[in-house]
Amino acid sequence: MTAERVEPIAGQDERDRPLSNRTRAERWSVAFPFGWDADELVARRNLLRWAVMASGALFAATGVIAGLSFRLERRRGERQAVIAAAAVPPGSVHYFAYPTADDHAILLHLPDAGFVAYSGKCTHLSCAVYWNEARGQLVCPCHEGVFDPRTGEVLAGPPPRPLPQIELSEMGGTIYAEAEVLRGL
Amino acid sequence: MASDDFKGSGGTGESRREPTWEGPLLLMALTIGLFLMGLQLWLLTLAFNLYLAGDQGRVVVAAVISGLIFLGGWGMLILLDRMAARRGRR
Repeated sequence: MTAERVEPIAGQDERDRPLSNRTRAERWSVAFPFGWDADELVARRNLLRWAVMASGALFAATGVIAGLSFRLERRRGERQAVIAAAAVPPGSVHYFAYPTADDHAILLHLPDAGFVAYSGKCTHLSCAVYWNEARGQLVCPCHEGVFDPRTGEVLAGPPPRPLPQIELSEMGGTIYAEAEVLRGL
Repeated sequence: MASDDFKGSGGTGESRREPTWEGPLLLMALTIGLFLMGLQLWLLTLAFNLYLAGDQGRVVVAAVISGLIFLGGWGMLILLDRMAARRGRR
C-alpha cells in the first residue's frame, strides 16, 4: 500500500493544510514532532543527566563519611584493670570486656611475645573472635576469618582489616587495658 | 504501506539533522561517565572501610576524588547543553 499524497495548493501555507489532506507519515509527524535522531539525543542526554545526579549522590555519600571521620576517635577507652598477670600463664587466654561492658576483648599470653590484647569483634561482620589453641590462631567462626595472634593482622578469610589492638600496661602484677586503637588497612 | 513511509516522520528530508560530532561525544561522555560512576561506587566502599579503620586522611582523599569525578561529569553536561543551545540558535 502506498501513502496517498495531496499536492499542496500553490500559495497555501503548509501549516494550514488540514490533516486529512496529508500523508499518514505527515500526520504522524504532526502528532509526534520528534525526529529519530533528536529522539536518540534526548534519551542519551537524559541518561547522562541521571548519571551526573547519581554521581552527585555517590559523592555526597562519600563526603558524609569523610565528615563523620572527623568525629571518629582512633583511640577509645580508659584505663581499666583486666586481670592479675599470674592468672594468665604463657599460652593461655583470658576473655574480658573493653572499652565498654558490651565490647568483647581477648587477652593472650604468647610464650614468645608476652601479653597482647585485641578487640574480639571480627572486622568482617562483628562476630565474636576466639582463640583456637590447636591452630594457634584467632579465629572467627562465622566466615572462617583468621587473625595472627602476634599482630592481629588478617591471615585468611573475608575480614578487611586487622583486629583493633588494645594497648596494655602491667603494674603491680596486674594487667591494665589503656586504650583500644583502630588500625588501618 | 510504503516501507519508507514512516522514515519521514521528522527524521528524513529537510527535517533530518546534519551529522554532528555531538552524538558521538555524548556517547563517549556516557561511556566514560558510567565507568567513572563505577569508580565512585568503589571509592564509597573504600571510604567506608577506611572510616571503620579510623584512617581519616585517606577518607578525605577518596571524597575529593569522588567530588572531582562529579564535577567533571557536571561540567561535561553543561558543555553539551551549551553546544545544543548554540546549535538550536543557528
